[in-house]
Amino acid sequence: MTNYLNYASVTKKVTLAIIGGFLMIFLLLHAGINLCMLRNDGGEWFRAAAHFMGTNVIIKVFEYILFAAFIVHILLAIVLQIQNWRARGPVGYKVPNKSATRPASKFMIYTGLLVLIFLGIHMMNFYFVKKGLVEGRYLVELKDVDKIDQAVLEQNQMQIVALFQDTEANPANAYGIKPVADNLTKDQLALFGENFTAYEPDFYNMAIELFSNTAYALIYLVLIIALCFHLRHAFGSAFQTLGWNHPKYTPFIEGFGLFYAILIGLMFGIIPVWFLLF
Amino acid sequence: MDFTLKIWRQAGPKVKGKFETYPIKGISPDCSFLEMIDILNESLVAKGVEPVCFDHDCREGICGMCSLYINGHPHGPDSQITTCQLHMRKFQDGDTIWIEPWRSAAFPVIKDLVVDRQAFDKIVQAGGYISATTGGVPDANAIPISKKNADTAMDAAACIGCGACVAACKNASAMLFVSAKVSHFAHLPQGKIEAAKRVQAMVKKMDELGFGNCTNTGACEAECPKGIKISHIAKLNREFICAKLG
Ligand code: HEM
Ligand code: SF4
Ligand code: FES
Repeated sequence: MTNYLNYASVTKKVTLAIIGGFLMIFLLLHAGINLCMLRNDGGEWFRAAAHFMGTNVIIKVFEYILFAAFIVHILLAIVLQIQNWRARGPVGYKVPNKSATRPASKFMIYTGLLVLIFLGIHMMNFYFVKKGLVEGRYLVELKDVDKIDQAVLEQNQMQIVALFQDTEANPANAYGIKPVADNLTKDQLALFGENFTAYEPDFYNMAIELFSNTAYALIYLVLIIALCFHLRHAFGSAFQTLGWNHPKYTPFIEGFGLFYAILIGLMFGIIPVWFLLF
Repeated sequence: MDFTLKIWRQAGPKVKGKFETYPIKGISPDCSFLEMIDILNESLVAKGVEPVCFDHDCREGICGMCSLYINGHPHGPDSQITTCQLHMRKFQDGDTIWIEPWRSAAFPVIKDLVVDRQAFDKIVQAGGYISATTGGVPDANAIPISKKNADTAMDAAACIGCGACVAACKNASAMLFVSAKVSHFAHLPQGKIEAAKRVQAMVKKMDELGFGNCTNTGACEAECPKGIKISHIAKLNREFICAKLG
């Protein structure tokens, strides 16, 4: 990192912009998956998407790149910001600057830090569950039942079948057996035996539980709005940093940046709003 | 017109400064801002008070010597104008006017409102020139240059090196100034030869001197008395990226 501090300001900025662009594409993908939650299918689509994201090899590689991207973006942003604060010199202005600036550009570090808080909460609630660091809810697919140890299966058969029982009346399913046992606590999961690994975190039910908490939904919403402001400036700024400024296209890029920020805000924000309202 | 002036007074580079309040009366609306300070200074001298130091030279908006951060705006509230070209009619009778020096780690205060802007000279020395032997005056049209490039280079060349961009920027970044120089040369055939070396050397010097990193806020463009556009900063970035990539 000390070496990196010596890179030219423009090099740092260009790195920040490229990574920011990558993160912006990722956000679209993530928001798209979240929207599956709102489909009234008991979480089928969402689960399929989460399963794909959790198991696909390419996505797993992508996950590491994503982590590195976030870390580098945040570290670089903080380094640049500290240099920028110091650049004002020992004495600041008495009258705050009144120059007309591009919208949202003045508080990028603050919106960024709010996004960072969001990331922290998000990791605690979801990612760490996947990594087994935090307890959450889990699901097991019916087709994986034969991976249970024979001895365990014989011992706990009744309880395991109960977990797959469809308690909500479902006329389409004559046997009353669900394709997945979901919303399992850690204790329920223990019924499948110590060596059973074919379970997945049940993000769908975990998310529903979190959003059912009004305070959580509101905080989520506020942090998403901070993200919107970050993106509002970030989108156009990244183009400028990469040298793409053109009298004809720049106004379009700026407009598209606004559209993108609002779109991301709506895609993420509609979920807590949905839970607050219904 | 009557005003209350709040002026930053600082006896020397290492001394702590503070704001002093000076009421001033009977100023003509057609008085320029610097003339208004001249009038104040005459009255201070008459009272045996040390006059307020400020930078100025041409007083016609072309030299880049005048500065002053006035009520939150470098070069005052009017747009595309230097402080020497600002007139008191742009203020309301009875206004309180806060006058501060440029604030930047790279522009230390020398006295009162005067700051040391040699950092800009150092950036120019690092590459803001072309290495050509001087000779007789060349024929004006000996080297063909497209109208578009000539115009863009001319726009960039309008920079007078006043430092308002640094003063306005929340990051105290000198990117608008440096980009004006880089873009000016990069658009002309004479400047292209050393373009890759120039942009890297000038950015390196700019960073070394403690200017901040540009975050594309656009404050510089809003305050530049010569209307230099941040499209030149994008040009600098392009030049820099191309230079780095080979
Ligand atoms: C999903 C998350 C994020 C995305 C998509 C994102 C995107 C971007 C983009 C595209 C830029 C513009 C780069 C440029 O102009 O060169 C940027 C700048 C910045 N980001 Fe982020 N960012 C995210 C999270 C964060 C976080 C967590 C922080 C926390 C410190 C942060 C702090 C900053 C800062 C300080 C800047 C520089 C301000 C500027 O260039 O105007 N960002 N971000
Ligand atoms: S770019 Fe504009 S504000 Fe900056 S030094 Fe040149 S003339 Fe002054
Ligand atoms: S004194 Fe020369 S530009 Fe103002």
